[in-house]
Amino acid sequence: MRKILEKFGGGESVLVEYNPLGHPEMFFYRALEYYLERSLPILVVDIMDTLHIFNEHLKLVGLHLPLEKITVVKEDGRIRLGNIIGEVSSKEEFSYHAARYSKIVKPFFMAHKDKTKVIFVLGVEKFIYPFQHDPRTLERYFETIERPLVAPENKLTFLFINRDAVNPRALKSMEADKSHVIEIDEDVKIVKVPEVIQ
Amino acid sequence: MKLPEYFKKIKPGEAVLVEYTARSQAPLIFKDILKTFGIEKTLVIDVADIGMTFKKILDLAGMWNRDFSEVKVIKLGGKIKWGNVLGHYDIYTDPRVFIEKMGSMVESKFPGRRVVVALGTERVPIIHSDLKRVALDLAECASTKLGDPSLIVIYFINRDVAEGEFIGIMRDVATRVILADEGRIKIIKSPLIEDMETLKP
Repeated sequence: MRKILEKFGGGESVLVEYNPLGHPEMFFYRALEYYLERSLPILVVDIMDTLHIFNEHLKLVGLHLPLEKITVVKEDGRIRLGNIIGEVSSKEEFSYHAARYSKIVKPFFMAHKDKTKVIFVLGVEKFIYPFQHDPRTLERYFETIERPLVAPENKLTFLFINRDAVNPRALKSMEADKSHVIEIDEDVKIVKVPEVIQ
Repeated sequence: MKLPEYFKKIKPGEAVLVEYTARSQAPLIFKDILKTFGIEKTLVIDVADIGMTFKKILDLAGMWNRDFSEVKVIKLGGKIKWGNVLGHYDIYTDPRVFIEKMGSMVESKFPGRRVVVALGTERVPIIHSDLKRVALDLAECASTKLGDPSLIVIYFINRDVAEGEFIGIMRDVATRVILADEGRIKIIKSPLIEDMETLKP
């Protein structure tokens, strides 16, 4: 795990595709642990209680997330975990949603402007689930919400997506935009890197 | 390992998904749930009479020697009454409304520790025109119940009928997934990897 995490740095975006029969929460737990050890600020975008799902699954194997150490933007759902700095909704119009999200996270990014911020977006599939078979809406989503996440230099973004709940076209579009793609099944595999492989 | 032995490993707060195929022996799994957890602690949500078909198959197979009238049942849609019906809700209304109403009714009529078995879960999104939104509402409800120390929820989904992406989203919420197809019952997700095996009914 550590060897994989060592490969990532600021300005990169990692799509974490997982099989829901596997244990993505273990990858999340280890990644949190790794970046907290390095004192990097962590922001979690918790879409529809995915943080709660991960937390409950971890509890069953005796692990506890350091929720007091993570800043959270809550996106729908009911279970409030971590230090929530604001709430948005996937039901909002995309441009309005993007503007509200920026306003909420700005103070967090300003407070840590000299450090690389690590952002975990959990439950991406639930955001796109209602419109993932509508190519026009999906494209608007990529343009307005998701691709802007790729650009910033001092942010490392992990987008967790449940592969079985998303249509293949949407998944491939997401893979194309990211610098790295990881697959979690029984083990963790990097399947896309930005370097040219000879 | 036998199925009832595995059920004993389930802790309060868990969400269990039973995926079955049309030709499987899913009603036998239902019977083992009633036997393991006890009728007095179990509540069945019967969606669109799917629960009634499970009961019928168990009756015909001679696999259930107790009176079904003791089983507490909430009817969500469907027409055939069986068991001790605590409430009957209209499946065609907004799911957020019937989920809320069912929740309050269960709290008042059946408080304390309980096991809730939902039979026919896959029919709820299929019945509604906004299938995707309803599927998300159900997944949200399942997520909210996760970790509730008074509750174990067991969702039965017929994978031959359910929309594939809905199965995917419910698998993510579930702490355990049991797959039943023709002649085989297998654990395909469990908190402990050593529990992943084929079970004997």
